[in-house]
Amino acid sequence: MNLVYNGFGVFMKKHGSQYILLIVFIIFGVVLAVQTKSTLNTKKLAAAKTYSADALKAQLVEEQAETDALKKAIDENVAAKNEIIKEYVLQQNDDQLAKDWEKVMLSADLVDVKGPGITIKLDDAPARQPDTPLSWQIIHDQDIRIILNDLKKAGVQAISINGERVAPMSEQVCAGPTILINGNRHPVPYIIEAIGDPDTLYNSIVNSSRIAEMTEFNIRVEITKSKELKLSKFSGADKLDKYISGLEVVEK
Amino acid sequence: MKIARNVAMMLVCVILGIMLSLQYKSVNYNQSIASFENKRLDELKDELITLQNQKNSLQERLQELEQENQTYAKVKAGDSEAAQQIQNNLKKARIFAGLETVKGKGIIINLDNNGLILVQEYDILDMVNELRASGAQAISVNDERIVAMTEIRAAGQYIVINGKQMNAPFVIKAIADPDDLERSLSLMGGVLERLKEDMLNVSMKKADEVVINKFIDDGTTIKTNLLTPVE
Repeated sequence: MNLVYNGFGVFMKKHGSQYILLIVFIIFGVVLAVQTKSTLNTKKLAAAKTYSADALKAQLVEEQAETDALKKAIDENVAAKNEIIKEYVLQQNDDQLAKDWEKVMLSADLVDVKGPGITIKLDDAPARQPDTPLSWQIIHDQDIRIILNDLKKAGVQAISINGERVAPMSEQVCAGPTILINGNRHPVPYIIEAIGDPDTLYNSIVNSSRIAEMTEFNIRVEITKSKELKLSKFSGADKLDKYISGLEVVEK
Repeated sequence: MKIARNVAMMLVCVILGIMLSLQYKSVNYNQSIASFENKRLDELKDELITLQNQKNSLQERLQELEQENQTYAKVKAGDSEAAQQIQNNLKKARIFAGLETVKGKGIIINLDNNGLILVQEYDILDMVNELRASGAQAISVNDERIVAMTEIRAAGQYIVINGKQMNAPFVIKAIADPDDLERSLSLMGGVLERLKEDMLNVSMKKADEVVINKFIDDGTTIKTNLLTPVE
């Protein structure tokens, strides 16, 4: 018979099962300790993280507010600039200059415009069809170029793609899963807004062979006529120097 | 007595087992939360950096604008120099729109039919787009200036650009850094290679001075009657 100290000042007789109990309680103790440590640790970590996450979020909100304020200030300054220019043009009492100014700004895509036209919405095929090559079911940069060219043949006066105004040197280039327009990436769906005679534009797109090919492979095409579309100016309008830096005017 | 003890032992062991498994799960969970929080923190930091960069560029732009406006404000006081600046602005818009004849360093491309293989409208369309994407600042095809609303249309054996009929050979001129243009056009699988694969005659040469005609406004390509400026 072994004598075992029971913890309460009494030595007891020890049975086999008591060894098991001893081991069980040792494991139990370890489990308890690990659990407590883990929980405490997480709480401490979480507190620290929450603090820095909250601080970061607060900073983000602050920065966002400053950015918005800057954007607003820029808009105000641009408006003020246009106002001064307009005043100057009027002051000159020169009809030719005033007309010229508007026409140039319109044809250079440097002002926001509105007018009647059509909207074309393009999206990749909804589900993959096993018997058609995948590349026929998605929209390519060349599709966009050909559609734009079709619109131009039909006498379109202003175009934008996903809010990106098509200016004289606007490219439409494939960049991985997106298309690069005016140096900015745009993913599907593509929304092409075109100002011009709605009926002529509509017919030109409905009869476009490229559009027919695209719908054949289940690419989703939606065309709607509108009484009034609003297109933003060219995204680089404020930094025009960058786009004409290599050009020298030749006077004749 | 013995049975009761055995039952008690069994119960204790079962409880211990459950606790162990719960413990394991809990520790795992705590760890995954910690890593998730870390990731979230990194995302927030990235977002913050992007926003700060954006803010800085906006600040620069605002300063430029304010300076410009200070100059412009003098126009009201009758400053002719400031008035000149407004005229300059109009000129810049005209250059950008393609309404001025310009010259600069660039590239000249010759594109011609090869016997029965004819130049298609898509060939010219792709070439023009490639030039735009490579940073061309002015482009012309057979001296027709390419502007924003320029169409390229095949009409029978002709190609029509800006409403003007033309025939091969096509001389495509572009102003931009000639080395950049050459590199991007002659890229493997690029537009030059594709045109050559199509058996068309195409050649390219760099030039120190390329003159590109202004757009001749006959009222067909640049129409603005349906456009209303929005203030």
